[in-house]
Amino acid sequence: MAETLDRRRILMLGAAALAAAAGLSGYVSAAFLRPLAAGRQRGAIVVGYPEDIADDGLVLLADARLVVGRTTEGFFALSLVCPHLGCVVRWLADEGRFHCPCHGSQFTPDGGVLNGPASGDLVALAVGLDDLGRLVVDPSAEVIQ
Amino acid sequence: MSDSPRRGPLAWLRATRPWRSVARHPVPDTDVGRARIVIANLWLHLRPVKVDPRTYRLADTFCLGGLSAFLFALLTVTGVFLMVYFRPTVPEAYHDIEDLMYAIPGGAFLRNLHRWGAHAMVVTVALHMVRVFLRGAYRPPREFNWVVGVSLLVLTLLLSYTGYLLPWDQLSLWAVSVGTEMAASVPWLGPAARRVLLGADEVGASAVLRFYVLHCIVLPLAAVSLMGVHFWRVRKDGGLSRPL
Repeated sequence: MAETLDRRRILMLGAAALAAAAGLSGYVSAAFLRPLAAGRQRGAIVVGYPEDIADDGLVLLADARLVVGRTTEGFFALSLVCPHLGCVVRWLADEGRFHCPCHGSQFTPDGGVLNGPASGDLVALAVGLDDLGRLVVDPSAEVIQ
Repeated sequence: MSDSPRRGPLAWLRATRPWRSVARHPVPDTDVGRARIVIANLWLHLRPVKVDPRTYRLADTFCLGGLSAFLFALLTVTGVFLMVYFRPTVPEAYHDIEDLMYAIPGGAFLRNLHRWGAHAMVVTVALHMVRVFLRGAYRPPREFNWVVGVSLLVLTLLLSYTGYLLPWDQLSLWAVSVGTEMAASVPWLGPAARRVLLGADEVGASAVLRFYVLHCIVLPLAAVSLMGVHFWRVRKDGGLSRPL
């Protein structure tokens, strides 16, 4: 630092620091805004082969917060997110119903509301088959009943 | 250096009409020329042309109003970025915040900037008010600006409170349940106010949406309007506090 800092030099240093900060924030902003290649739980959830699910069987997928069931009419999938305030309902095997641990709402095995405070049924999700013949559920595709 | 003729792409650019329409003043070499640039520029004119150097004494203001305004700008920018990922719905809200915290590059940094910035703004606004009170800066001719400042304090607290609900975790849910119950305890209007605030009889999907609209649109617009008045009044009432 042999030279003294005159006004011009300070301004140039300031401008350089500003440009560096702008470049860095531009890079971070671009990284932030780029869509995630594989978002958490976006896209279809693979359940398994249909023949592995017994009649009247329920397959609970706790991580994906959904359940897949089989009736004589076919397969169905339900979101385990309580329509009241968003807690994850539990399956009470002994009593044969879903129970919400937060506020006590209860639902039948096919998702119908038994008692509140939830005002609606568990949300039904679209079930399909993938190329390998496995059951898949799209958590973002609600079925309007 | 500006009066010697130059060549090259930069000189060519500076001679183009669009450039000269933006850089529309000659390089000033007098105080009048400098003042003219400041007066003719929306952003520069927010500051006075001339400032009493004594207003820069840190111990007189601690720059608390400026810090609050800076934090508001920070919260606006980080808030806009958060809006890119956040969906104000019951099934999505919590998991969008989770994604921001754990999956999206820079998301945790951004959200923490917004969160801590919000806490810090409540602190700086409160301290600003204490400073103004203890120094008597609310006295005439600044009484009106004190009233504007009180409104801005209320807006800051409301912004902080409405943002609290949006992560949609247990803390949010119960904080808003308690807060809106407090609103409901107001005689006569209370229960109606609570219903309007929540859009239902309890905290749920419509409450998330309403708080989101309040947090991102209504309250910031109100705050920006009042901040404009507040800063303008500072100038009209004789500038920042300084020895008379």
